[in-house]
Amino acid sequence: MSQHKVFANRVRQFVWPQSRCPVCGSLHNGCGLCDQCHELLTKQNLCLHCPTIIPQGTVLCRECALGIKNPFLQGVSGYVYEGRLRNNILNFKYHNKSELHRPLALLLRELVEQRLPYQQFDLVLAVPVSKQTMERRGYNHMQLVADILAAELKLSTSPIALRRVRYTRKLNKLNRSEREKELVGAFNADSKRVFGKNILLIDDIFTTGATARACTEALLAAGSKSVYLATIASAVLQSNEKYRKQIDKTRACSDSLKL
Amino acid sequence: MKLGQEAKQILFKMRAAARRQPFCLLAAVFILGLFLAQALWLPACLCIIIGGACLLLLEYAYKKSSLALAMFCLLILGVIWMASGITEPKAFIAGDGQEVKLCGTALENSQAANEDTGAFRFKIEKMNDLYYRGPDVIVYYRDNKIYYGDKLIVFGTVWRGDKYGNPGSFDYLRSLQVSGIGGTVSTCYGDDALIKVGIGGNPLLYAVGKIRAKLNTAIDDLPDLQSAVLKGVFLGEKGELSKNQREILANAGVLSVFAVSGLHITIVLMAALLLTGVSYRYRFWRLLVGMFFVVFYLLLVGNSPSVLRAALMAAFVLLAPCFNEKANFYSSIAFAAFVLLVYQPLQLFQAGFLLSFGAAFGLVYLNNFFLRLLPLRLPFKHLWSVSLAAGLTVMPLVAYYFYKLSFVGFLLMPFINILAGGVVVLAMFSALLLTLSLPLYSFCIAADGLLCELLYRISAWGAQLPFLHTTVAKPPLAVVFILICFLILLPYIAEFWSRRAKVFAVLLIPVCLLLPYGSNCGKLEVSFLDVGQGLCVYISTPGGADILYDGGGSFSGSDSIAEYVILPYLQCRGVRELDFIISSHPHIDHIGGLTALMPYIPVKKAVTSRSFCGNDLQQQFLHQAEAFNAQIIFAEAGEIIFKENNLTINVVCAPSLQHIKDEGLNENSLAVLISYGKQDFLLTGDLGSEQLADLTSLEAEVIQISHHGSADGFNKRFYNSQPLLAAVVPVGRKNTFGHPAKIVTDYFTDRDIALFRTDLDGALSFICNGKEIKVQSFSGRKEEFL
Ligand SMILES: [Zn+2]
Ligand SMILES: [Zn+2]
Repeated sequence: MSQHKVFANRVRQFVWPQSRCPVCGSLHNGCGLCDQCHELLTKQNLCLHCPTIIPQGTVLCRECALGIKNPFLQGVSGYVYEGRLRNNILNFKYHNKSELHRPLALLLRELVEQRLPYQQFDLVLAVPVSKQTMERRGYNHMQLVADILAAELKLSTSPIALRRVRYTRKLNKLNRSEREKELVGAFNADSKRVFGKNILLIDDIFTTGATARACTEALLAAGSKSVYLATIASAVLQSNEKYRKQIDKTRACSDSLKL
Repeated sequence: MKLGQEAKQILFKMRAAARRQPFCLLAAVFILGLFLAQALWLPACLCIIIGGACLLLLEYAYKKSSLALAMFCLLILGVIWMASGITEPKAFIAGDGQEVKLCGTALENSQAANEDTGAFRFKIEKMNDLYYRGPDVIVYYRDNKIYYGDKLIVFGTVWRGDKYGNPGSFDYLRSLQVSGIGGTVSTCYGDDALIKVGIGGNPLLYAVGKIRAKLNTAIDDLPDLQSAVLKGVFLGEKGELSKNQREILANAGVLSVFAVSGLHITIVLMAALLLTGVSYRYRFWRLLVGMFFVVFYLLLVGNSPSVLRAALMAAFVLLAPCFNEKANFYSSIAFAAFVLLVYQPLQLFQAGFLLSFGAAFGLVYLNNFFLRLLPLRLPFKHLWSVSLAAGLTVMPLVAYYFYKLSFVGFLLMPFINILAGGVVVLAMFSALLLTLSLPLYSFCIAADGLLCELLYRISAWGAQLPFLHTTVAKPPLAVVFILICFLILLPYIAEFWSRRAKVFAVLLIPVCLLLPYGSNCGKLEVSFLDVGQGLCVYISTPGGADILYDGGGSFSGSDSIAEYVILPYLQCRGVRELDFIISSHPHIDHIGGLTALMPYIPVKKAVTSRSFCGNDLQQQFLHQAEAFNAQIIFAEAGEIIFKENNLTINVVCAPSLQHIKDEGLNENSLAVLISYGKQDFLLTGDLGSEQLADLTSLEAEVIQISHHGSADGFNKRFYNSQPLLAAVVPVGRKNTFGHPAKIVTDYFTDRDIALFRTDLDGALSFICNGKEIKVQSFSGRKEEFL
């Protein structure tokens, strides 16, 4: 089944070719990451417990160091949420650029293969959107990514195993505690589909992790065996300005390494 | 060394860019296969194919590139598809001139073919009461209203179209066959020629046909000019535009909006999507609504290659979002080309197909290049760059097919496109109102008529600007090929050039096209055109003067010889004006073409004899010459009418009587002798044997046999006296007069003198450098030194 889907994706790439790297925008042959960005992927220093990108030499991000517990076993993310990648994700979500699901799915595949090489997964699930959002956009953006990613990783996926049962306000204007409150009881997992499964949860950005935590809790409550999280990008919070600077320095460092 | 590296880099970049558009690449390879199989000499074609295939296979073996394998397969597929002849168009089985009774269905509403004739495509079910399977035909008729789906019985004569073997002539029959039409039938028995016996065909098409008919009647209420332009722009019917108006539009370089094309479809699609307001989240509905309007328009205007191309591309573009993909221009144009060429590969060699795809491809491919080249603050920069990109790409093709080079188009196209957009939207709107039978449509059409008038006036204004359009000689295929390759390479090689260098590179294209191709520099050329039964000789002197001796003409009295044979020939040779026309005598097959030619090409001097003045055709000729400011010269025998270094043109025989009766015209033709160095050419018109007897003192090497090889123009004593190398009989295929007479052909066979015939050899060119003479024939049958 997934073989067919992989082939269908090859056909799509053939008929509607996309050859820009979703991260830096450079042209190259084929869909997905360019060589430079692929190299950068493994050089990012991730927090031990969550997908936040942190400066070289540190182990935990500030949140995790403060003792915030994440219910997922491990979280990984690819890049810092900025520049062209940020534009791409925004266009993908809000401006009808649904074609970006293919390069982003390939980005996530690379990420999973690099960062979670030994973990066994049964099911790829996308963080769901509410019915209203779905209606407005015309597509569930992360589910499009999950379809391709699942095919590429030879796993299965289901758009209905995890559902958003309640409409929530936009989170990006709220602070952490407000977010947690807003998301209580927002997700519901179908235990028939997820019971005893090892789950790979995917999302576009990791900000405070409130959404991911809510989803994971719902999945665990429905009896999932384990949940891993993979996100395309991790945001740098306003309060982490100091960290942001350090991350910039790291990028500069890795850039110079590349040369 | 450095140059080599640069070339390597450019190649590398182009290769990468090509790999990024694999679908387009495959289509290109397929087209290359079709082209090689048809256009080239077989061994050369085989070499190229085998070489290319080996390279592609090596790439596959070495790099495991599946794209190379796919390219290899498509190259071979293209060659096979073309060479196998599965898609070879079929000709109508009935012979030329045969009278037939046909039963069948009209496939389109009748359209005006010229002032008093209409034409429509006809699907035959029975021929002469026998069941028939084969290609459709075009039926020409008079004064009948025929609509799609009418079941008819047609009595008519099969006419396969005259085929003249001249350089630059347009093969009408072939172009019909490529679009699936086997031949033409013209009705000839007056009122009984067409009998309607019922209604059939596809009900949907029938309904659309009715709407088109209604729309046509509504448009007919407009003033003539407005209705002709509106029909041209919206429906692609150019029949109502006069030849002169078409010439003006062609000179202004805006004829492209008179063929329904991508512009129209894009406008219809955009208007439809804006009006219905279907947003992105209902992508599937968008596809349906958009295609509904496009198909409606397609059915309304009929399927020419440009409309089909645009409709296929539109479908492909609208399909992409349904798969959550981004529409890709190159893939969609490749898709359209694939579909059309698999269906009918021979379209690849049709002007309409090439121009349509060339313009669309160039428009996108070169747009960025021109955006960067144009001044930064130019208003409407995108419009200009699009018009430049499309115009420059088709420039070599237009020069090759229509012998025209127009720069006015670059100036006008942005405005004309906007106007044409308005015209199409308004007309589409009125068509919809008509469909719903709302009364408002007449206002829409009236407003549309005004827009059309404006469009025509702007074009006419542009066409009379000096120096901005010209006739060019037909460039060789190789030049066109090289120029197109240059255009494709241009964005890559010129990437780091200065702006000035880029401008020079762009200007190189019109300059290359302005070169005098096919001229025989410093040599005399005497060419006998194939004008059917008639005589037309084109003389090009070493000094560059262009002279026409007689102009053919058809006995039916129509202008078609001048318009479709002589004018294209002159244009294809790059002749912009004639220095002399010489009329031998006022018979329709000699003077008809000359009279009809004058409106289309400026003539400096017209040479004839005073003795013919009593004749009607002669009067017409003189009036026309006066109307177009040609100086009239009445020549006498012995007069030298043209002199150049080594060359003289001498009237050796002219009527001596004051007034010649109609039956004596032939014998009194104006004969001229062209002497260049040691070589003499004698053109005799229709001289009789008596008059030839007076010319025995001449020493001509090449002679035009008088009176189309008729026995009464044959004078053995005269021919015996001449040191002949070759003789030419200007004669029509299967002419009813039995020309040339057996006695004439036998004489030349016996004397072992090369006898050329325009019916067998096509046009004949004698090229003379003063010492020796070389002959070329259009059929390629003979090419030799005499
Ligand atoms: Zn990149
Ligand atoms: Zn952390």
